[in-house]
Amino acid sequence: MKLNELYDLLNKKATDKGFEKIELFYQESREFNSKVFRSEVEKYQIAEESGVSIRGQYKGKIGYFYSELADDSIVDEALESIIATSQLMDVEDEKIIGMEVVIEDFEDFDESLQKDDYKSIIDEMIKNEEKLKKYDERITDLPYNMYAEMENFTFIRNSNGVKLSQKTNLFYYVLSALAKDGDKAKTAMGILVDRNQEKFTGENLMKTIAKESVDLLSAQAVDTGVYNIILRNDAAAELMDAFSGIFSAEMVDKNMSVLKDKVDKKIGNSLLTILDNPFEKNAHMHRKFDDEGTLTKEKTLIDEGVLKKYLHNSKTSKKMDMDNTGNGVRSGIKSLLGISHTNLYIKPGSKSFKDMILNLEKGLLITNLQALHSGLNPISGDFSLPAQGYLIESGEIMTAVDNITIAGNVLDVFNDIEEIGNDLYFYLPNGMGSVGSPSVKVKNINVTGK
Amino acid sequence: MIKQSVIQNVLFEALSLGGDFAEIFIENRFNNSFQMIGGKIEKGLKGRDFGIGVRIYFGTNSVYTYTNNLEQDNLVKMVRKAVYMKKNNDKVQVMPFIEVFTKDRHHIKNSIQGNDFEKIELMKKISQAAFGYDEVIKQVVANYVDYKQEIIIANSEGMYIEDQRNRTRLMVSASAESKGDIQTGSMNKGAHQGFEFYENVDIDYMGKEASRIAKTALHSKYAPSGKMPVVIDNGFGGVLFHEASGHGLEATSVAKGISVYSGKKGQKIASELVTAIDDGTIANAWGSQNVDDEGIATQKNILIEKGILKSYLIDRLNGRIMGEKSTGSGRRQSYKFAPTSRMTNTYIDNGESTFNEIIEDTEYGLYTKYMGGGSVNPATGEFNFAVMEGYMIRNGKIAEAVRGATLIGTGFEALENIDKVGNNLEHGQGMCGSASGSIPVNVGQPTIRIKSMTVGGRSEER
Repeated sequence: MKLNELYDLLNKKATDKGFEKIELFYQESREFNSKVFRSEVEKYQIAEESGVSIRGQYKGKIGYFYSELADDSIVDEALESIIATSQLMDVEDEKIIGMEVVIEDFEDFDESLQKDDYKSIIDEMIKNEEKLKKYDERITDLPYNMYAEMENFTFIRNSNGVKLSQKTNLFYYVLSALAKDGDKAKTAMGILVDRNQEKFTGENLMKTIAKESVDLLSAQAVDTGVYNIILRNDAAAELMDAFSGIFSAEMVDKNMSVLKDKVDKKIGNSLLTILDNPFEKNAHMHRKFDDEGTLTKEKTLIDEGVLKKYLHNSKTSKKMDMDNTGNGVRSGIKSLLGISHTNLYIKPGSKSFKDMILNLEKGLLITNLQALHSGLNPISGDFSLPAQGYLIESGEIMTAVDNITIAGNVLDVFNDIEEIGNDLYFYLPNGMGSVGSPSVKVKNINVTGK
Repeated sequence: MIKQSVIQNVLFEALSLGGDFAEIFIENRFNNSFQMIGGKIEKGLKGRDFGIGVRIYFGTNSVYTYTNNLEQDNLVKMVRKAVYMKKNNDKVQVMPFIEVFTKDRHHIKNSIQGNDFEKIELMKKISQAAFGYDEVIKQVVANYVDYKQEIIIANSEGMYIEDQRNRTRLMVSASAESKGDIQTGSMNKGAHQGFEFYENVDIDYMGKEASRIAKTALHSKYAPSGKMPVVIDNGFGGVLFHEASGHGLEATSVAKGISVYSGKKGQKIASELVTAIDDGTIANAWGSQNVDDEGIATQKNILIEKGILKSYLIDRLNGRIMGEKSTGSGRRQSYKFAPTSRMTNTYIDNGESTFNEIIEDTEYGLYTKYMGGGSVNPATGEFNFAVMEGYMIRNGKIAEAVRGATLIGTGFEALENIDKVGNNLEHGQGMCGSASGSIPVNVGQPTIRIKSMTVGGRSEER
């Protein structure tokens, strides 16, 4: 195999130059991406990309180099660059580690996506445009009608005995509806993620976003005040996703997580259990080993309200003297060793979404949160987010609500969770992992409205 | 990087499958980045981006494909896969290349590929300045990035251009902590220039300013919510125009007819105090380049003149749909993205008020000294922004600091409500994410006042 030949050359030259350790990390991906707008195929993109990241240990220090030109010609440039950058580093925590056990190559792959013919998908996307508009005459456009399919292959080999590969694929479909009434315009968006081609359909997405976009046209802000809210599973998952970095030991070590110094402390309601499980079947990505070659495993991060552990790679586990949880992840060839969850989620409870609504005397159902990347602070845990949803009175969904902001602190949310639904939903994975949540009821949330 | 005859053959293949225009974009980019945390260099990475993107037009539709493998056979294979509706065309003609020599507006004295030690020194200096500001500063992160991007753009009309972009940027973020309360502040400067850029940057000030912002927010009370006048200071405050209106002026959404500004050319869309410009030609500015990523020379585009919509930002393909010429606005993050209309250096031009006049004239309101990030929904024009450093204005004076404020509104409403424009235009640097990826842009403005705007805060007190 070509990659093994490249590794052998790299290893030989590195040894000659006095490197102590060397590692080749190779990634290759194929992608199809298409967007339809007003019956026209607005985007049709076929792509392939590949590249290497080379990590080496020289005089006790680690350096990296990456290249999208991945042939023998870059080996010398790579080794010289690694020597130069590694010696500038002030920290020596990182090591190139070996494998505990030999792992077979791993596949999380569905053959149903293996084809080059996308005609039936494009046809369905065009049909969905017409179908969605039939839900309500005020729906004038689908600003997003996009299908993407991707396939990834990763190969890691190092001079400490790690030699493994992993192959994954999935597709996602994003639909949004634009509803207009006079000068008013509102959008609602939905995402479907799966690996099995047969699951591709817009039906459920359309039903939800058609109703939401039209409801928003008549939505009003509620009075400013303190409310009990139900965060619908998708909104809750997005909020958790935006805060997922607080579990990273790297963030904790750098003073950049609100969870610093909180291990074994009660930080949430006893109802709350948060897991990181690489094998969770409802999630869209699974992995057997992390990008250092450590076996992945299921972990309880928050157990009935008590913070149990952070997510670690070999570097933080050594530095902080805690277990390596197998979360050493690299988001691509351009990224250095970091930490990511695999499938991080709030453990579902027993209540159905319907019952949760029925049990709420007065409050808000939040269906959409915005500004998730600017409106929250992982260091303090504070958030202030524009939101949309519905007013609930006596267990009934009443009018739509818009132009409100919900604000608080993520630790207060953990504490004030009163009910957890059984409707676990996983948000679009980010390439390294995904975040999920059922619907949750939280008391005493500050809402700014009119 | 690649023989011209290979490019000719790929373009020929694209046209013979039914395309009526084809273009290639080749990129060879050398990147450097370093991160210093708490005064220690923790990360350093050098690397190389390398690949080709091919775009083929079919009337007003297009397809795109990219790969790192520049072998002719592979390129032809990718083109064939991408053309999903093949129409054989026997009368194909790819024009012979005529090399276009672009005027280089961006004098580079010291290559940024130079001395890594100087970059480290810069980061040490800024970290020390930030830590030294006050003992409440508990953490400082400094980031340095630079790159040299060599490009080739060629198309079936005979265009062949080689050009180079050099960019460098320094960022600092400081965290202040006291009694369990943690707040952050950040500053950054960047340019399309060599390392000499930093000779004229006050590194010490940047570090101290980041720390001052963080310290100011500590223990400040939450901003009030409701409608009120908002004064937005010069520089990065221009991000509001960029997000709330700039994206709506891009042909990407105008051509589709889904922008709130579609069909409004010649009409009044802002207060007559507002003149807004997108200028990709400013020498050595962060968002500048000699040619856009479709090979068309960048230019100074007056978008809004005294409140009247004058021009959109147009790329080649959307120009076809709209029946208008490209404004040199076709941009992309890399060969992995098809280009589309994007901003370069966008700003609201100077007005006549002084900063003091604007504050003194405001009885009650919010003063935002530094804006944080934000986002906009292009279909509805609704935006929201975080305020990084804010103060209340009471009786014409800047009063207590407030935290956690967000600005909420629509582009239309905000532009119409601008009732003061200052005379102190400044630019700030940012990365703008949109359909064709993340690209460097300047945002800018003088101090402006919006007479009424919704502030999302957490306090009911005024």
